[in-house]
Amino acid sequence: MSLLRRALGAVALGVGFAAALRVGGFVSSEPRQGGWRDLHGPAYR
Amino acid sequence: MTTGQGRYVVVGCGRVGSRAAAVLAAAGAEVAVVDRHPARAQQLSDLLDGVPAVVGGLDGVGRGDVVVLCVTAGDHAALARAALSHSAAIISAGDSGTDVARLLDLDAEAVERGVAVVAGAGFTPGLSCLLARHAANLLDEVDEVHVAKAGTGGPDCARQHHAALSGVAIDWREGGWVRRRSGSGRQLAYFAEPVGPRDCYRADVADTVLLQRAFPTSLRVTARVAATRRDRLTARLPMLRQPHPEGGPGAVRVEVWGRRGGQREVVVYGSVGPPGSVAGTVAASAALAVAHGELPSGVHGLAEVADPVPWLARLEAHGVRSASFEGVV
Repeated sequence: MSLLRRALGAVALGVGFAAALRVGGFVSSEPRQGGWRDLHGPAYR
Repeated sequence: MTTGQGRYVVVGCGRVGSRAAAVLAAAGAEVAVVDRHPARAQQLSDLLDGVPAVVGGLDGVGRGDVVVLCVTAGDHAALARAALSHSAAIISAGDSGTDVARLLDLDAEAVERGVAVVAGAGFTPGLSCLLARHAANLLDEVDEVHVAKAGTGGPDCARQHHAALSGVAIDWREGGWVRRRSGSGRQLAYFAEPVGPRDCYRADVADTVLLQRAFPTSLRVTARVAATRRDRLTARLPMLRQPHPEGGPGAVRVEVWGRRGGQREVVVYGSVGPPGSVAGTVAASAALAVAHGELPSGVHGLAEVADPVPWLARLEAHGVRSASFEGVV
């Protein structure tokens, strides 16, 4: 029983660490209000 | 190398140096390329229809030459000192805070020799400084400047990004420098597509020093870089794998707060492109500008350019387009 708990604990730690290192990280999910407009040529002024 | 022939000597043949040499060669300038790896210099020389590849140091440069430094972080100050001892003008595309601080220390000697030195002529700082000046020119006074960057260029740039997240970041706040831990201060920044929203953190980058110098009355100046959770967790370890040869699309976003007609306003400009390629284009544009006497002697950042519009137009001609964010900031 103790061995099984230790094994489960090790697996949980491994999964947690892998999740923490996952590619891409996290991005806040606030809504975007606005957009980008090209700024070129005469529009620089 | 013959001394003082009014040529452009590009030092470092990586992503940034290759692009800078290509832009200068396309402008009809006389270009020589230098690299500590002879094969790399020769490869670039062959790509550019046989511009001279020089192996070794800068002994042959002289007054009238422009040395464009596109080398690894940490090497800029020593090479700049060597070039300055021959009275050559210098463009540094480096983004390390330490490199830029050491370049700024060369100001008195550059003035004495009557040559211009440009510190931070790359993606950020560089394009970020031009956009900040352009935004500031729309305002009566500048209160705050905030820069965010996403993406990296070649392998050296990726290593520098990794190191920047483990160093000490400095913010300008209410008239003084505040030291902060790199990797702290998460902020969501909306970059132009295809980069989009990214979480950005404080980092040991040179933008704050150059922007504070250009806008000395501003109350706050900050710089952040986009990073993933893995970037932050592993920043204090050696890089776990070899950096990529090219980092894909990157982006810069510059937010300038100030007053116009008594009203508080914000101007947000940005640009998207491969950081290495954009940095090389900015460095080449700065080299051409210095050769044409557009900058006075001494050490300057690009935010000190009085009118950035011709600079941005020249960059646009080489595919570096900028955009304005319109919406709720």
